[in-house]
Amino acid sequence: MLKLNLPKGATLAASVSLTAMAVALPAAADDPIRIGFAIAQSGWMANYDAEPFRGAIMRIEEINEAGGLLGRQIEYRVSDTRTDQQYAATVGQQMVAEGVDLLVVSCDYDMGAPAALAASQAGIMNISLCAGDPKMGAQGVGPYTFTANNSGQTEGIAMAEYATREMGIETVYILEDLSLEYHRSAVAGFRAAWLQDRDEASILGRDTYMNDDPSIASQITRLRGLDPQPDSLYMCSVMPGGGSAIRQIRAAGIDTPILGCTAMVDNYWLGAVPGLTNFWLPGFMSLYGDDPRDEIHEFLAAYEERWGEAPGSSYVINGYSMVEAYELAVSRAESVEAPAVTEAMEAFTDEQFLAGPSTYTPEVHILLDRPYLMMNVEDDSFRAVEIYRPTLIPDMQLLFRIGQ
Amino acid sequence: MHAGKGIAILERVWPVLVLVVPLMAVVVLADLYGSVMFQRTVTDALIKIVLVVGLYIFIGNSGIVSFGHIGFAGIAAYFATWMTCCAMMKPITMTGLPDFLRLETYSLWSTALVSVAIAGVAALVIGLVLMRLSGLAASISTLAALFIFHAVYANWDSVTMGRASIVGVPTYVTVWVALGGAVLAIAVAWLYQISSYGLATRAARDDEVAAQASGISLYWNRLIAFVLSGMVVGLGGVLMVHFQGTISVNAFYLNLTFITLAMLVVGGMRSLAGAVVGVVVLTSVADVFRRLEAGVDLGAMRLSTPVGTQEMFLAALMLLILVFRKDGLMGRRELRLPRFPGTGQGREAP
Repeated sequence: MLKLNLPKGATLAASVSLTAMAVALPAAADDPIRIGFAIAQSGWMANYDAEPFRGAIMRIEEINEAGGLLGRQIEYRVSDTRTDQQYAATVGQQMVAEGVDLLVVSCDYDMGAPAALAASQAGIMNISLCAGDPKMGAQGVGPYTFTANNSGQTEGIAMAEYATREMGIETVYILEDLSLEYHRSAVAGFRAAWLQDRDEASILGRDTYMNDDPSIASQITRLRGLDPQPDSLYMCSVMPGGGSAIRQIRAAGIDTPILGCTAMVDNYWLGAVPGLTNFWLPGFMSLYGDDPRDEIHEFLAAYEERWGEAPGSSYVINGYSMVEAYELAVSRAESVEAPAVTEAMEAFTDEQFLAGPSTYTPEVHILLDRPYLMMNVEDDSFRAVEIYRPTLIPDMQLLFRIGQ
Repeated sequence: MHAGKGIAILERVWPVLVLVVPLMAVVVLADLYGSVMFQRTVTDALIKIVLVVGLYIFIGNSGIVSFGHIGFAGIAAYFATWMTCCAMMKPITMTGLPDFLRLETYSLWSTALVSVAIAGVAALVIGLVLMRLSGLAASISTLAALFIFHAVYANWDSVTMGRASIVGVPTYVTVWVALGGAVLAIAVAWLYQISSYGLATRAARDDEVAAQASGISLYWNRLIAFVLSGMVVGLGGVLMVHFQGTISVNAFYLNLTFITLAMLVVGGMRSLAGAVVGVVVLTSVADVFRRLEAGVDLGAMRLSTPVGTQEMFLAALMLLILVFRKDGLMGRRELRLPRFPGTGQGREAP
């Protein structure tokens, strides 16, 4: 059986708010809106799911305090998918059988899709916390599937446009980590956007490695053998391989700017590369007090008050804005039925959420041009540079990497 | 005379019945009273039984540990995916498929048959080469075959979508379908085991030289076992993909290889009953600890073990079993009909 498995504080808060509700509302009031979280609380995926989940809880509690959604309170429960695709499907089906109005799934297509599929087949709305793969949508799962993040391609586009237009970089060398689809999507986006402003010859080379390669010495040798040397190095990777690769590159005396992708944001891994500078990437928000947006500072303060600590990952904002998006769609649709909510979400045009303006269309259930906070590493910390909104909107060919 | 014949037949099918009937009972209970989660756990265990019994057909009879069989499950599962999956996405994302797969969708029955046959062909091709080896060399080369399968499928982007999951395979595998698969696998394994081919393969397992001296071909007998077990494991792969609705190449790699081998070893590598018992024991223990991790309500108190205890206990249990019963829970025995007086000598366990 599935059990309510909430953090202690949340259980307390939920029971307090339920008590308050019972006092305030007559027994005949509408049933609560039920949100199920089929997300990883153990295994490697938990690192990406935990913070957005907390962000989502914060928004749910704000809504409940303000009187609920359509006058109905929101109830939520969570069940651990153990970072296991098959178990995720089981958890998803169990939640669907028990009845939810919205199923929230993991921050990744591979891990989230099995649960999302269960909801989709049952005609229930489902949103991923922050999957960056466009298949997390109508084409890859089902008509009621959305994800609350930019596509992986958009990350590459933002980085390429920023590098060529704002940083004045002329040439690049691409080092591709083949271990995740996400990396390949980002590289595809990077290439497409780079070729808007520069020609093919300015991409001086491309090499590949795997995240668990202990050494990339041969790749570095090939890179050092280039003449002329590139102005910059683009690499999209995740920990631990990404940190290890950067350390090896810097140790080899290559000091050119390294352009990265969002999965490498936040300071937790910088200890692996002491003194790292000139490492750029598109991020969501700054956790380090220098975000240019006031509302982010308010959010961080509210987070500390609610959870008693600062967020460990800037992915937290996606969970918060995911609930914001659902809230807006439900209030416009005046219903929690999946077809109506889907229609309302598909009509989103630059809706202002905490994470930035968000647009969906009937074909594309992933965000394509939500602005990024460009960041750079200095003094062993990520620093906010400025907000940048990518201009190239990837087409379906690029999104599904057809013929690439 | 008549009764004696009946008992003889019963004695022959008893080892199958004694495995199948309890499984049926569990399935009936799950179907009538189980939650979705319990039903899915049972279904998953039944599919694992197909895989592990498939492994047993080769490993148990030939004595050669194969690390490569999950590759055949993957080959069958991918073929089933190509034949049934996502008519909308397939033409766009899997451009490398031949037109008869890319543009058509096939019925589930024909898909299952064809996919299992494909797994058999793959096992035949690989077996033709590998069965020339014996002992450790054969084991290691099967592992190499698994790596080759994985490397090819993980990078063959135009037909497998690389490492990405393919989502939207039709899910028709209920607990009853999985039971059918498990019963079929057990029956095939038993029939093979009592056939002359099975006997010859086991003879070669126990003494290669003596078997060859008796005119038994190690190569052909092992090849038959290898192909048959490849097909049963392929059936497991087909059931798995139609149960999950998604497929990714990493699902058919080391994790699944080692958990299925662990089940076989714990149950008893040289006994068909051991293959089934191993799956049942490990699945039950894992499920109990998973529930403990999720938390158990005891009156006002809520007990839950820390995340990760399931794996720890499972590992400890497997160690204990291997230390104290190194031939596995069932040893080399099958579950045989208790001896009736007057039925003559009971046979030795095969």
